[in-house]
Amino acid sequence: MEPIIEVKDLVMSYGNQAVLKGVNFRVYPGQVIGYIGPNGAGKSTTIKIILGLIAKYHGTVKVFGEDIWKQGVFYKGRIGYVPENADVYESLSGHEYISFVGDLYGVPAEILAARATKLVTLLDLSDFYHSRISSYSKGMRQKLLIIASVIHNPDVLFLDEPITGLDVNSVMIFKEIIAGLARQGKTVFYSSHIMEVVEKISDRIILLHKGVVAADGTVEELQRATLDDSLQGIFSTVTGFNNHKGIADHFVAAVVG
Amino acid sequence: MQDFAVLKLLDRFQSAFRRMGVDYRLMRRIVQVKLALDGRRVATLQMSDATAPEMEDNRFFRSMWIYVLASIVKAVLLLMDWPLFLVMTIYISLLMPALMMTMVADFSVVLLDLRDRMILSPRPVEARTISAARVVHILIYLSVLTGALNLAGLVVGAYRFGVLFIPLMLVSLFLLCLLVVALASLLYTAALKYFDGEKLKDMINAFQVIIMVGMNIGLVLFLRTFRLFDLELAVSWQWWMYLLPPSWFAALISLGMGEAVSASMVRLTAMAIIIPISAMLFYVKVISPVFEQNIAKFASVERVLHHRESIFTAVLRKVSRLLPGSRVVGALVRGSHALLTKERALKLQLYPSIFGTLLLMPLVLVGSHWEEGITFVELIARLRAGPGYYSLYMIIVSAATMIPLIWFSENHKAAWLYRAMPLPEPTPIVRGAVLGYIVSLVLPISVISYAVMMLLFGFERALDLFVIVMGGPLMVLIIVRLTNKRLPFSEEVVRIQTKSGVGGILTLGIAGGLALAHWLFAAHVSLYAYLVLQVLGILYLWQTSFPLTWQALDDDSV
Repeated sequence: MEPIIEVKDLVMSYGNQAVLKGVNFRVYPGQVIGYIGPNGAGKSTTIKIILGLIAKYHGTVKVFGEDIWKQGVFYKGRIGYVPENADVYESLSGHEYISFVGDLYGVPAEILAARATKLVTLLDLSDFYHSRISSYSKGMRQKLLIIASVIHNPDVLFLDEPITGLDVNSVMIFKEIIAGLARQGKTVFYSSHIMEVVEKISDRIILLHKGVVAADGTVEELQRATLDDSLQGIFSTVTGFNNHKGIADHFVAAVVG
Repeated sequence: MQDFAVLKLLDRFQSAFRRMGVDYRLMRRIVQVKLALDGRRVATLQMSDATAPEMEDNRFFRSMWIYVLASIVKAVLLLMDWPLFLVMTIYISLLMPALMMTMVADFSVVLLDLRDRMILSPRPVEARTISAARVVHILIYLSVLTGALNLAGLVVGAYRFGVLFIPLMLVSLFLLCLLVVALASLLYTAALKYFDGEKLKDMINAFQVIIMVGMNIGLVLFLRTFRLFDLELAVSWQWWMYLLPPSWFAALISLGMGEAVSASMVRLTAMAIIIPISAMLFYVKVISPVFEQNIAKFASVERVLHHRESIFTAVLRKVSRLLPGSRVVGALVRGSHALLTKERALKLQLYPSIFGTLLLMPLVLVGSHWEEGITFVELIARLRAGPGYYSLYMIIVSAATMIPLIWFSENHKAAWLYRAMPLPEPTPIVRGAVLGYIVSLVLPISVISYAVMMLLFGFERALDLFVIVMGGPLMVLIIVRLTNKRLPFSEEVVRIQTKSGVGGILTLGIAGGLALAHWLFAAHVSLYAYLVLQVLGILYLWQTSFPLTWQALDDDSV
């Protein structure tokens, strides 16, 4: 099978600081990828490069089988994106924002209206659909961003910490949505620090550490390789971190001392 | 963290703060952090670009030269051969609206800031201390601004009236600043008490617009009526002077200089000292806890159960879908209509100048032909005989010149959206935003003012008026062509008047050019020819002004 995303020898630096030092991976249609790594490992940067938001990088990035800068921008029409801490035009109502995004993607007006109404009702936002986004809670904003990312029925989804602020019930719905989209052949690239959720929804983990892919495989494969039973344990082992108890003890001592 | 010189100055007054029940040490620390923050705020879109972070206060201080220039114009007044009290009354009457307007437009954000509340209120800090810090922070900026606005005035005053003028003037200006801040705070507290959530924000926004329009108009009327006054009358004491703050401060100065000593002057001077100080004391001691309690209402969620689209929006939605060519242009037309009508920071810049002109123009028009005992029919006849219809340019220009607003937004970082879209070039985005501005602003204003002017000037002027109205889109496109193009709604909101002093001269030049061409064609060629030229110009600019590439906009901005 042809990979739907292919990243080869990806190198990227901000000024003198190298963020990505040769990242390699391939993603196949229908996969749910848990893209994890410590803070500052370059997860969001990778996603921005794949979306064509950052141009100055070295290496090859192919989406749908073609280099993203050679094929023109239309591949973006098949991608949905929830950025980390996304800014939105908060003076607009949820309705106005979703319509704006749908229009930019070129979704026909009738389909857009019908789809948006259904999605908004399902995620319990309808009472606030015509309120300004500035009055939304964090969770409501994230729901709106998730809806905006799928409004054009994309084939690939990039989700960067999409569920911060969602309540437990909404997270349960969200997990099922991801699984359902994957069954429909959609590819999901999911980046998060919440290991329980990543472990549950991903059928493959890519762990980025110090600018390279430090681990790549299913959760079971990684469990066998590292002899850890949870994704949290795998994460600590691969990133070479085992001192959490010691640091915590010193922290407490410093607070009360 | 830097220890600012102004804080050391403040230290001298710490006992006064303590007496008001303010924890001075804490307040000083809060103000210090606020000042440090102002110096570090990154104003550019590029957060990753560490090479040239633009400083917020640099921008503030960089715009100061405009105020210093303005101070020279006012300083001329001090050379007038009138009594000191009269001169100062006029001088401060010109100054006070300017201060009040800056307070309302620029410092309201600081006054109504919720973010520091999130940090401060969970900590053991008293509301009074937070309020005092807020007020001191604003007072520091307002004092710098006042200083700039009066630099020339101080020099000229000292030259004419002696060195004693300087300390007297400085004291008056400080008291005036106190009064302005206290008044604004009291008004906002009242608004906070009775409204909440988005209603409250709309209310305050409307209130800001009204104040600014009122100030604009009031200033013009004030200057006009002053001519009618017998100057003698204004020097002698009148009871209504008690109601005019400028005359309090004028009394303080002229009394201090030993001129026009009288009982009423002493009373006015007493008011100049007592009212600002007690208003401020009253605010910090009594009102500010109410303010701090109610400011949280700002953040409440609104629930809109029955949404109704305005007719204009509905028509715009339908028509913009019929636009030939790009669907993106249509999307941006609708999007920028929504943003221009809903973003309060944009409305605050847009509406005062436009409404101000709309309200002032008829006054100027009628006022210039007004005479005692003239009938309405005679007035219209006189109007029609003159070239008064050219005044429609005022309205068209005031609507067209605000076009640079489409580059700005309260949530400028939301512009990441455009780059994530499947668009080979940003051209339709910028085009759509410009068209959105023309359709949602220039068009309705043109239609309404055209109709009113037709009633006033009759059908003979139909073509002239139409030519003027066509100047609107033409002017918008010329300004867009001459300014740097960016992604729409992608930059932090700044006051566009203060951003470039050249802009005003440029737009005046364009407007003058259009009016001159209009007059030349009407007198020597044919207005129809001019109209054809205008249409060609609009089409040409529309076709050629937007050859944009993503690379031409600054790259890596995400």
